[in-house]
Amino acid sequence: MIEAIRNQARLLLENGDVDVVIGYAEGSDPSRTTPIFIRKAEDVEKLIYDPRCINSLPLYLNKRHEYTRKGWKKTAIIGKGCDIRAIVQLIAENQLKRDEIYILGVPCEGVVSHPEKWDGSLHDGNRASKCIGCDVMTPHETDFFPGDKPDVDRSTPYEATSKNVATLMELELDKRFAFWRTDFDRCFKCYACREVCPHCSCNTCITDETTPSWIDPAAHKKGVFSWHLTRAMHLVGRCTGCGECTRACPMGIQVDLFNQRMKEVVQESYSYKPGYSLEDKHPLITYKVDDREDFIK
Amino acid sequence: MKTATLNKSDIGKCIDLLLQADLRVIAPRLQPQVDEDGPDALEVLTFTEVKSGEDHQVGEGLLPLNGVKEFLFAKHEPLFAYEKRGKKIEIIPVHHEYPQTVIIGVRPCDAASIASLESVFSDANAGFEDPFFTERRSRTTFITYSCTAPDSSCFCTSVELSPDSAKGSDLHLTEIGDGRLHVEVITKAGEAVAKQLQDLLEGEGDQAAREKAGAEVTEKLTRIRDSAPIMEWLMDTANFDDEMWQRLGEKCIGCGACTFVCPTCHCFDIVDENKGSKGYRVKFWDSCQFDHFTLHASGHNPRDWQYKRYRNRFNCKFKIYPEKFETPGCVGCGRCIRACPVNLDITEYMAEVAHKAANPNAMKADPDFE
Amino acid sequence: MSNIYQPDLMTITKVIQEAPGIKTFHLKFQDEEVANNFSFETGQFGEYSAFGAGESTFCIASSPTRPEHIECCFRETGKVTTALANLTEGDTIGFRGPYGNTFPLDDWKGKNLIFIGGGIALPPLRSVIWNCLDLREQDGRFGHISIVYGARSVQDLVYKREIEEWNQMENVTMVKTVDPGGETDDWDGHVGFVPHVLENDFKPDPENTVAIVCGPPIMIKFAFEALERLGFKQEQMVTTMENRMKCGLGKCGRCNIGSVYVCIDGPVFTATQLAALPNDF
Repeated sequence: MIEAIRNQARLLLENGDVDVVIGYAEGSDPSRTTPIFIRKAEDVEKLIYDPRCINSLPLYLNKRHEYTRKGWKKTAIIGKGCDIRAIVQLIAENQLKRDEIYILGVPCEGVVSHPEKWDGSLHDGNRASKCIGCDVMTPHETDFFPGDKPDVDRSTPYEATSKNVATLMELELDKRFAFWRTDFDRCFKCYACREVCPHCSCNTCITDETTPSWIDPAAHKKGVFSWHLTRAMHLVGRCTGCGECTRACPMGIQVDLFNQRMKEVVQESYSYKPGYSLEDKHPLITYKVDDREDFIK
Repeated sequence: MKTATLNKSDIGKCIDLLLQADLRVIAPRLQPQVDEDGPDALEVLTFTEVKSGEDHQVGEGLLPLNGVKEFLFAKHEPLFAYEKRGKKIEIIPVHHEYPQTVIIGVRPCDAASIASLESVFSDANAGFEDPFFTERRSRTTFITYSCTAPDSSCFCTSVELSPDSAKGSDLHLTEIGDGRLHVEVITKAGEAVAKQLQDLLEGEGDQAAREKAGAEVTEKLTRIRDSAPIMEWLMDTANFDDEMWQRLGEKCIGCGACTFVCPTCHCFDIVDENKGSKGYRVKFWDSCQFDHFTLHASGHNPRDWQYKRYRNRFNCKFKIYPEKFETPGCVGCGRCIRACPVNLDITEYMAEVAHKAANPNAMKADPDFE
Repeated sequence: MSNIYQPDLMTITKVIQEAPGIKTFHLKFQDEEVANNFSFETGQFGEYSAFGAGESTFCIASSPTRPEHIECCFRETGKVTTALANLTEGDTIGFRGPYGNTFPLDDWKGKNLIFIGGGIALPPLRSVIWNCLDLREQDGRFGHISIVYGARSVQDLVYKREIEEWNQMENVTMVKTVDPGGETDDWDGHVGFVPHVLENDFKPDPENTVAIVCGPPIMIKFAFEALERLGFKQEQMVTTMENRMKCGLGKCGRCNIGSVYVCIDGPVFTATQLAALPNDF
């Protein structure tokens, strides 16, 4: 499978159809992979794809990280299903043009939840929970796919995305808050969760605004809670569920539980799943006459 | 130097003794997870205040995610309060009550970083003494614990340390087999703590076993880099514009995780937080990896692209710290490697520099690289 | 143990609108003991607080030879400077300092001095200009003093009345300029960018002369290059770097150029020292 991808990448570079191919390569450790930017056709041999390839590469298509695309006219990018959801959502939000990107889709049976849990193979003990019930194991939007693309019904709503959300939802509100207070005690506002997110694309993040200062930058309870709740709200209807924010957190805080819960809410309220349509705008920036209003009291 | 033996199984009792002596005790502890067994569950080990000897993971797990930096150089703290009354301002000093603290289970890399932080925050640095750091430091004692199982990201031996080093320690523990620990009293503060624990300490320890254990664990490190040529290579300002910085650093996303978990990173910011006419001036952790860190009011930014910001970080660890502060900038703990979401690896930079230092005639710039 | 982060309180005794968006404050310490013990040397800077908004870094724009009050001059560009600009006479601000190194006046004895600045960069030079003028009047220790200063337009010139004062002084050459397009009908100075006017109109003689430059990094670069073409050696050129600073104490890690911390090893540097630094500013 990866040979077909490499060949296609080689062709694209040799023909000058793209300036760079963004993909995965071996990392500095056997359990890790790393993003790679291939500009020369002979380097395509470095491209790999396996369950260790957890990075969401579309973050390099996000204008906050625009240096990597400086001077590139067209980019090819290797994407597994959840990554391609992110690309589709970026296009739907006008952050990217469809013809700027050449999507090399890969079939995916899941990725490891964290490099630490890699033991040589993917199994139920280390497959990320986002992969359970995934409907884009064969990705939905591609320019190239090695093999046949069977029809998949992707109209089903998100299920309760993870056991963890359900577990938290069962707690009384004060116990749930106590859980987050303990977890957030170790947040030091590094903003890794923001930087890995393919959708955090504001030129100046609200946390960096000083006139006025909307969110206290210090890592006390107020500063931490206001950041995470703001981030969750800014991603409502937009988060495509890659789970990178939790993976990137250096203190092991499961920040994406907020996003998962909000995805359920958006699904319930508007029957909308982000990342599946290149045209549909997400519900929080659109108004339809038949929108539900029963939650407005 | 006074030495003794301690049973590893008595560490919980040690913690209880220290707590009974009215000391605040900080130890590595596993944090509760939403779902302990699920595929996403991680072992989150952090240094945190413990209230009982039953609630610790001293000597287990490799390295707590947070290190001891936050107990000396606070994540955030008020510097003073102010109140506005018309055209007048009143400054109200903030009274900090720092309890006497013992941090137990500190690995040698974290212990070695304390001297680095001291060199920045004490009056050895331009004569300005940070009173908050100094107060905390003077009330903190470190019980360190030699490593037994380094992982593939550890590289302390590449920066002149070892997994059994007692540098920065007050009281040092090393496993010598049979569930026993060899105890070394390093400083007067360590002596005071040893006194608290005297009922649990016995004998003279076993120096030979301790050295053997140290040598054995040192062999286990797999990530070895030659750091000797680095500072000299960085001293040549022409190398500041070398092509390697862009090539290695282009995937960096500027998330700042490396700087926050790094035991020697010390950058901070100061802002005023208001509540009506009163407020606090607050100092809190900042990162040279953030895009606005060096942004001038005029709009000029000397480090406008991310690879330049990572270049500064590498320089800070391997040139600024040793040259300006005369302490190590990197202790080889490997946290930045584990934390980096895109597998940017500081030891890859080290290897690249060593290669370039050894091959000065290698191509200075890659013309195919934009 | 004293709190190095805690400012002293000062009262704004006078506010002068120098140019659109640019103000000067005259300041006096509220505590008499602090006032009596305070001293500084030219080139040093301070951290000025607008309580509630934060601190901002400005040089001390007055000369140590005129200690009745100290001055700062700033442009309104962000949160703190806007808060400062909203203050009026009688209001309280905070001050931490003096920080940094100083202009090496002893090295300049017997030499001619040329001060070169642009826009909001005149305040740091103003301190050393008055310091040198006052010392020269006292004991004649410096030779001829020239000042080359320009701004984007006539109204953007800072210290307008002092420019005219310097223009009238004996043994002082005042070369004022505005950028092309910034002149008014009655403008009697040059028209052109400062480095250009320096090299083509003023053409100073490098013999026994020191040039002190202040401005944005790009202007410093061009001015140094122009001076080199005029025959100045690196040891004859001095500048003050206005990097983004926060603590002023060498701790927050923000202002470094390579291993040099601008707040404690600078902000005054000779061109020789700058040339030895990496391209990080």
